[in-house]
Amino acid sequence: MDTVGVIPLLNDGVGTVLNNAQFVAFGDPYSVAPVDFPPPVYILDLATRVWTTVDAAGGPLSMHGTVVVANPVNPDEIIVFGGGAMQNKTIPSRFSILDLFNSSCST
Amino acid sequence: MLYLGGGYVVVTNQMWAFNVASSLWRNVTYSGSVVPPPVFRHKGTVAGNSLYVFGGEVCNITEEFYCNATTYLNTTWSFDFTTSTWQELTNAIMTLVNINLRYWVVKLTLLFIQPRTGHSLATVNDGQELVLFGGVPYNNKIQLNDIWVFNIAEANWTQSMAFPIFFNSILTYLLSIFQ
Repeated sequence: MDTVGVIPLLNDGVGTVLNNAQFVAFGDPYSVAPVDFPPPVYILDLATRVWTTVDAAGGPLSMHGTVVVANPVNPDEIIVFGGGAMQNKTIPSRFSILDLFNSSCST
Repeated sequence: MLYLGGGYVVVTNQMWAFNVASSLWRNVTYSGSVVPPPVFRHKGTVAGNSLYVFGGEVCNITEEFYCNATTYLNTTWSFDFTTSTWQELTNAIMTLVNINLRYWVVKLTLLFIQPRTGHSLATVNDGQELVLFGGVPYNNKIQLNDIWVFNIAEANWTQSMAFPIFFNSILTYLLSIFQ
């Protein structure tokens, strides 16, 4: 499917469909840069195929390996449960290039 | 070992809800005292008014920047959105061995489903059943191709497979033990 907009790059990313109209993705933005706090929510309009990035504060940290489902009692909500929360998504000073290489391979 | 792009990882069992109409997050609070452990790489699916969660990994040792040891789970949990309560459902236990050679079909419930991560979980049969496929067991040396069906009303997992696949599944299971 061809889409327009900023296509999310999510490590172990997950998403769900809401109201048969939107695909909503959330997870661990695949970046080693100190960005994505709070992590955005990515919404794909299934009719127009346009991605929208929503930077909403007050939510969870980036979640690696989480679960995202539609809330069965509120059709406008996604539910995010569990995952590895990224407390400080920066490059630790003691990490070497080899560490980063291993990081990419291990996940 | 789990590296996450240089991040400092804390595995959580929190639940959050994001409203796409208002662009607001809210933390979902739980009622009751029973909650699943902090888990990642689990899978979940919705059936009726409940979220069903199976498997995944819990972090045993968290070092400075990563989760250094994990245990894989084979537990099944449900979360009722109307009551905000968690319930741990039964693991598969040996309840039925039904071999129908006429149709070369073996229905077998093993002692348990192997703990795993990286599997698939989906709701089928108008929300009455869940289907679990594959994944990776603890030693990470093999990939699973087994299929399990969870009957929600009976809260029980059953494995159904064609006869030739039965032996492959048993072999895979034994390899996972002895490797």
